[in-house]
Amino acid sequence: MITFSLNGNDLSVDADPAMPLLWVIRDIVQLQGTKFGCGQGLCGACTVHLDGIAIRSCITPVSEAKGKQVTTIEGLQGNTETDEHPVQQAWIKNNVPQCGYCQPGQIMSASALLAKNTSPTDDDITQAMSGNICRCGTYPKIRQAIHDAAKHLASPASSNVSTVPLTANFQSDLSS
Amino acid sequence: MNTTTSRRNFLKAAGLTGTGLAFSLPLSGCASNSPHHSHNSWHANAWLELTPDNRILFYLHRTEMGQGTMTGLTTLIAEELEVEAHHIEVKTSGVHTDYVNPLYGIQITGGSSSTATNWIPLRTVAATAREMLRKAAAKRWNVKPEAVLIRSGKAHYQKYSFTYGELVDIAKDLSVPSVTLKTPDQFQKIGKPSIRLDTPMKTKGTARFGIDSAPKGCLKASVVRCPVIGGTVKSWDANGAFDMPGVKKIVAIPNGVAVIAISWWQAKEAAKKLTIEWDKPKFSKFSDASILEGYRNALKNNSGKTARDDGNTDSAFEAAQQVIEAEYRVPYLAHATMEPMNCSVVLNSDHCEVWAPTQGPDIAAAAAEHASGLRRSQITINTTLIGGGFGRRLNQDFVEEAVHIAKESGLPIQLIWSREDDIKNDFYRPAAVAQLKGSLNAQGQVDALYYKSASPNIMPYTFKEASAVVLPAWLPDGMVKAVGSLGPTVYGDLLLDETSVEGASDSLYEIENFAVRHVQYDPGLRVGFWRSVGHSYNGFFIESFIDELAHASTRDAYQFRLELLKNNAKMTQVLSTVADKGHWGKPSQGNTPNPRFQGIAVHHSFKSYVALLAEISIHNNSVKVHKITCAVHCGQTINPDIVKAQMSGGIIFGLTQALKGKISIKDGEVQETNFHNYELLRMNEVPEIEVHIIPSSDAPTGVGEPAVPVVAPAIANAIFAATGKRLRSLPLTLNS
Ligand code: FES
Ligand code: FES
Repeated sequence: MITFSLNGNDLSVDADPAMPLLWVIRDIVQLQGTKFGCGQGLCGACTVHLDGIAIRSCITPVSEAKGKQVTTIEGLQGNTETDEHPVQQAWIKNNVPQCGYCQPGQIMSASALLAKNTSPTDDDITQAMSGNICRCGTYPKIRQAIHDAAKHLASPASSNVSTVPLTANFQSDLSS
Repeated sequence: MNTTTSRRNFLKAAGLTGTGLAFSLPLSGCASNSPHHSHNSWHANAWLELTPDNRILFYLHRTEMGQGTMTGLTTLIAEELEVEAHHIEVKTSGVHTDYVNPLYGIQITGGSSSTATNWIPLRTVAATAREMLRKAAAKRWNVKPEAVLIRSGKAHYQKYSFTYGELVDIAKDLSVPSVTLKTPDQFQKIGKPSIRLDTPMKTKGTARFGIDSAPKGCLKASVVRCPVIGGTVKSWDANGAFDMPGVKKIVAIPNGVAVIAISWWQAKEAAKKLTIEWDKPKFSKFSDASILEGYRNALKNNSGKTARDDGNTDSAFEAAQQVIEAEYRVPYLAHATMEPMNCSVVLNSDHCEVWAPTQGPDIAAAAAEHASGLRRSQITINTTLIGGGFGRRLNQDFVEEAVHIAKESGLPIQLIWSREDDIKNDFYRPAAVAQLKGSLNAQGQVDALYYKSASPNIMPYTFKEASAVVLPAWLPDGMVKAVGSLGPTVYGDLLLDETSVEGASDSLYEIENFAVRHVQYDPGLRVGFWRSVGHSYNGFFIESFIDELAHASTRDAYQFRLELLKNNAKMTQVLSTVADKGHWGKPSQGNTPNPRFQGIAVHHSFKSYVALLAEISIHNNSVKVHKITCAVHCGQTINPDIVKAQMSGGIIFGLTQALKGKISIKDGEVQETNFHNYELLRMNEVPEIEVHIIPSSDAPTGVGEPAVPVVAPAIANAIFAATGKRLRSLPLTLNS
């Protein structure tokens, strides 16, 4: 049994200690927001936070999470439907995703960056985000959204990032 | 009610007869015509369902893969139905003949066609429903329909109003009226930016892709395939893989051995233990050098098929002042969608249910039918969101594999490919070699252009999978009869495959003597549709060579193109827009010591017109792209923000092709395996990108693909301006 905290809940899993955290999250816990892209630490699709640091869960054995806090895309937002993390709000306002497959990983990398650097320069952003591939090429919007989120974190009141998105009540059978 | 009559009336009213959009629109209020059934609801047609409790359901018949079709098509409905797009529930349509793509005759999402082919039909179905609601309200109030105002999801008369839900019961028995569509000045939603409908779910991690769509209880499968695509299993030994944790079953399928376990990681780990002996295909005799030699021999020994023959190039070359010749090349390329191929299958003796991230659900159904041995009526295909398509998911090999595994094992399974599986088992963008020859007259004007290329045709591979769906209706005009029952060899030996020469054969340059020929040469690596298809390399060939001719004539490369396109207003407009906005002739200084240089290119594809200006510098013999200025003429935009995102994404896709993309072959085996040796552009390499949309109210044209073809030539032309070196093969590297 390996015990760690996942999105604020304590969890014990019966898994091979060498099993990558990604597959524990996807196949055992069955939280599927975290994506598989390469399995080799090359694309960032599987990025989650381990004690607040962005890591590649596809090459991190679950044993390394023992006793630590793991946060996935599902754990980033607050408890209510409209309580998105400022990074998610900025993502929505900027219409960042195309296919969307890389986006949970992008958002986890961006939120880890902003947690330690609230006013990142373009170079800081490039540095923090170049491990995350987006085949659809949403990079320019990702950069803009990170700047917007930083502005919001600096002065929440003056920024309109927190407007509840118009599409919050949109329904589709393509979403869980 | 006579449904046949009303359908015909409807088509006539909608102006759809005789426009080439000959497909059936079952638009009566009779639910029996709809592929979806539910009690009480009004199925206005195959796309729209209105319920008494005031829900509006849109059955989306195209796949959302990032291109924005969910938002775009829903906006068309919202505009004419007078509701907000996000109040419409979007459901996946499933497979049905009503949903066939009129350009191809099968239900595919591809060819940058979704907006263009739905522009009239979807607005018409929504406008028809709106008018029927108006009539229903008029009936309830006993007033004339003209007195009823339809606005914000309700019917209004004086101080009274009905929701659409309250009118469903009456509306569904009314006859289908003829309708007039809104004119562009009446649009309230079309042409305005809005939040994409799929943005929140894709931001919160709740969007369900194929990989997230396995039903409960599915086991996970990983397949070991022959290192050379097309090989089959001669013998295999489990070597203790059975005893690995989590493993449930190991089965052989036609192209490999599948390990089935509780977790995909367990399946993958156990699969490493297998030893398999393969029967390798002929292609295992080929490597990069022998493939190139094959192309060159094919060009030398075959005259090929004529795709264009204007004037007389031979005599023009004889009389010419100056003749220039060059050979251009591009390699095979993989799609590398971020979501690897995957497919879930639950199969029993009389039903096969499939969950697949596919661009062609009816081809997937045919593949499942073939692999399961069941009848088409026993197959259900659930289309999911797609983590990137770019043409890869028009091929259904992954569906066929998954059904084979389910059948051999008797278990419900989800097959997931590793990244290595994905890169090594693609349907690749064809490699191509082209010979170009051009001549200039005494005034430095182009007299003649001759293009001859060799490449494998895509159609034989597509044909193999798609013909089972509907032979032969999907084939391009005029070829239908010729193909008949001859099968896949037809495109190899008898017919020209237009996708091999597109972008050259239909080039808009006004050159009096212009010939295009193609030689089919296929060493045996399977090929498929890759974002912008033939344009992806013919844009590079033609636009680089035109630049060579411009330089030979010592004229300005931009003016030279303008003159050759002077009668084409749209091409001229996009060209002059990038020249103006990108400051042609005046590259910016930048804050680095290395001077900057510009290159320009223009191309027409998927009915859109695109020009691009690239600004680069050279650092230590490598190319740095600083800025891209792009202009597109794509008719009316539905959502300009999505159009810009598609253009910008296409440019980044094109940058990867220009600077990095290459699949290499050794003894038939693809050498690239993962993102360390098949690199994709990352954020640190992305230049500043500016996209200008030419305002227009013409019918919309494609935006998903047309940005790709112009990128590589614009950069190659800039490299020539910087170094005097003409790079004629991709990817562009200065050291070669
Ligand atoms: S899946 Fe982990 S980095 Fe690519
Ligand atoms: S949005 Fe498609 S890979 Fe990033």
